[in-house]
Amino acid sequence: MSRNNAVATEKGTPVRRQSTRLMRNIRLVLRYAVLTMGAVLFLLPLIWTISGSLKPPGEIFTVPIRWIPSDFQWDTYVRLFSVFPFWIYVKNTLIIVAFALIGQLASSVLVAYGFARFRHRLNGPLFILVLSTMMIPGQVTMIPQYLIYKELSWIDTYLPLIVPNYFAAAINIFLLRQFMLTIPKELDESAKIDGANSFGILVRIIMPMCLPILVTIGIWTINSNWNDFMGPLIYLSTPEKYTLQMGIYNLNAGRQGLTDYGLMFAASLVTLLPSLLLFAFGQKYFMSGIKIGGALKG
Amino acid sequence: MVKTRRARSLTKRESRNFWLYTSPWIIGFVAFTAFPFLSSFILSFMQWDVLSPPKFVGIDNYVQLSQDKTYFWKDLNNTLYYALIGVPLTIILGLAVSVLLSKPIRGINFYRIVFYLPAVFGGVAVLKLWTYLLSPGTGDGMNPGLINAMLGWFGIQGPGWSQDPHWAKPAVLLVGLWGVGGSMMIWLPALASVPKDLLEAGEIDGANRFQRFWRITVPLITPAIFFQLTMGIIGSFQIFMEPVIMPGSSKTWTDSLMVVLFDNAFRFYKMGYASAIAWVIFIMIMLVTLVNLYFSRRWVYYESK
Repeated sequence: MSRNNAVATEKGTPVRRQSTRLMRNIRLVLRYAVLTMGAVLFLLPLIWTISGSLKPPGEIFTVPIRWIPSDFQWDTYVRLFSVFPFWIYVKNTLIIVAFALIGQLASSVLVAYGFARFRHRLNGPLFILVLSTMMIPGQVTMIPQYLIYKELSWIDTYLPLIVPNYFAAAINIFLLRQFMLTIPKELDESAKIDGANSFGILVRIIMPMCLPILVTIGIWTINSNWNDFMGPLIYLSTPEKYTLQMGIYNLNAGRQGLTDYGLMFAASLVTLLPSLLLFAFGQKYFMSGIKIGGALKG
Repeated sequence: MVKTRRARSLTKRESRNFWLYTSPWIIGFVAFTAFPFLSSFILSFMQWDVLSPPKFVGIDNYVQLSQDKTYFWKDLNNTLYYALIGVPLTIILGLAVSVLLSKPIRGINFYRIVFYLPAVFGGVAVLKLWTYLLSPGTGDGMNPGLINAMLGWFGIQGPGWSQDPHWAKPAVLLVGLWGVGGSMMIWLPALASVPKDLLEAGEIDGANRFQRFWRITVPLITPAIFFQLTMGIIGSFQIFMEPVIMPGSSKTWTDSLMVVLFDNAFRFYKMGYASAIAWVIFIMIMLVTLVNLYFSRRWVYYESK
């Protein structure tokens, strides 16, 4: 700001400076106006849904839109837990998410450490192989994977949804390795002199420094497993084993032809809640993730 | 002598550690990527319903695919729609939003969070919600969802969206556009990397805002555009949930290649046929990426070179 003013004084008369400042202010106001309009537009769907989940049935689709319900139907949320086996689905999903998270974090850290810290003539070529697997779309390997799990009698268990997480995802290896390379090797050396072995160095020195990336990867892993639909759709067939996504997909609340929209909205919102909380918690990591995004380009 | 032996044992330990730590990925790569990759290629030349032993049928699956107008060609067509219309739309809107959010003005973090927020939501719930948001409300005393009600404020009679064969695909794209703020992860650092003095030089030379953006900023962020284009196209070939959930499972207007693949594999248990579809998708993604890469040399500018 001050630098711009300096340029303006250098360039011309005070009159001109004033007019450019006016122009700048007009532009700033315009920018805020457009931003605010856009923000409202992006939030309206969410607000409409929240208000819809609390409206009496007759009010949900009325025109003009009633933003504030005439009579708050808080019991929609109570009914949600009684109408369909909500807690069972939540429990099932949490089991999958928890084991997937442990596996993904542990394996990604180990593998990234291997690539970042140990010299070997195959290190480079293997790392290129890691990167190139990101190019293989999941559908190509999907069918044989299903057949392998069938051979192992893992169908209709959570194993096909959990176990692959224990073999480190390429994108996570990449991000962690890039970050580990920026940690000075002198830190490892001094820990080594203090008697730490390679695993000790990883746990006590490297991992604490990687915390922001680990949190980001953790949030991604939780989110993608929580929201996974195709996996459970392929592998789970017993309704008692369904995840929350499957539950919502099959949810047809209400009697013949009479959809209970309020309940649908409430169910959807509750499903989205963990993502929202994770986002709120990881917000500062995400925003520093903008910098990680910078490392990805070109 | 002693020294070299110790050095040798050190490299030995280092190499042992390398294999030890990378082994989770190596095992996973062999078991869940390399082996399935090769076997799906072989499977695509077989006929197999999982119950009886597989039968080699040569290129029959591929021939059959090329003749399947009701599913394969229609769904290929839909998939190309998502790629050719959806991806450019997403890039343009994502870049526009990010340009708006790029200036470090007061309160910008709040706006960044609001625009980013829809991108964190995923799964079935979002698609169901959008199906209600896009409720048509045409005649029959049925009231519209939010989107058509809003269009009504401007006197526009909204279309049937996912309940209308012509509007179902745009409805799918619309949900994606809601989450476009997620792409600011890529755009913001790219925009920040454009040197300020270049833009100032442009200003002194009399270029207006639009010219400065088009002539200076855009050429400098071409690596990010290229990245978004490639990832976007790959992603659009894998669209699956939207077509299944939005128009209702009995309707096939929005079906993508992924849906034919899924149906053949896990509903009809035609594993060979489904593998052939998988390989068609794979080859198309590879071709598009290679073509993209080839032409990128003409328009993508890397500073380091």
